Amino acid sequence: MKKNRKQKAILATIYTLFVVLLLLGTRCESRIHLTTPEKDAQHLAELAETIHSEADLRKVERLASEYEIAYRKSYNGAKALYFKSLYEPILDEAGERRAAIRAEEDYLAMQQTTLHNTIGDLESAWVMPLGSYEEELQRLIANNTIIEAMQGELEALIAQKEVYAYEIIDAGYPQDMLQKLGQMEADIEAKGNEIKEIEHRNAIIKLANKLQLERELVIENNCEETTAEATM
Amino acid sequence: MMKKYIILASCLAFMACGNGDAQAIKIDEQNHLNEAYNLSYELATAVKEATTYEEFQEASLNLKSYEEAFRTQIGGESYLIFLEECNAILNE
Repeated sequence: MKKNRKQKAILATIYTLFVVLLLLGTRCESRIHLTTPEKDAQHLAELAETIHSEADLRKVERLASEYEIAYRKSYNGAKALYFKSLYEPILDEAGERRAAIRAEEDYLAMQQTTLHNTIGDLESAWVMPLGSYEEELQRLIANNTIIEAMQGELEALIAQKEVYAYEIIDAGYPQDMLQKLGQMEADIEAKGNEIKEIEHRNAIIKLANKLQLERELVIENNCEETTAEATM
Repeated sequence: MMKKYIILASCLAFMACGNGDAQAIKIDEQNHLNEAYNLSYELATAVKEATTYEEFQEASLNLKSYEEAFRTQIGGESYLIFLEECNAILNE
């Protein structure tokens, strides 16, 4: 009997210790040291001021979320919500800053790409083998004929897509029809890109003639009659 | 065996030459904004006004080296100005 009681006491002690350790463990697991919601939000605001990149912002967002979890675990949901109400405007502001940073980065990347493409185009124009004026003109005209035909195809594709879009509405947006519409949109985009590519090729031909032979290709009356006048 | 070493050494020398250009350039850190305006004008004009392929090659390599130097040494607003000015001149 006495032995049984002793065993129960030991088990109860072990259980209590286990619970205490578990509670301590959850607290120690968090590397966040909580002060007060106001002070912690202030700390986040100071960090948000130093944001210069996307990575910085992500760090602040992660930290804010860790604080919130820590408040929920250590105190209660109400305290966590109060803390959230304090830091959310700070994160909104930081989000705006991030958007501005991203826009600046995108603009810089666009300028870089433009410069590299321009030099690439000039390089292509300088090394392009050129024929006589008439031959060059014929190249341009042939490309223009292809472009014209492709523009007709593009217009037909767009018209088909518009009709099909109405059919989808009438049919109640079935998945297979939506997929087909997606494919049609992809075809339209691909056709547009093909046209742009040929137009770009024409621009390089004109540039090559201008750079290498200082002559300008002039197409008169589009495809039919062409008068070649070299500007030497 | 010897041939392999020669090819490897040539490649390394070529890479060193390529990287060396941008590294050898030193952008004036006190005056980088003016440098961005002046150099972009000078370099892009040289590319645009090249009258032979050789001239173009030299001018474009020079521009690329300075672009790299601005990007790695200065960055920020001056690098952006350098790019914008070059683009404006080359595409006008």
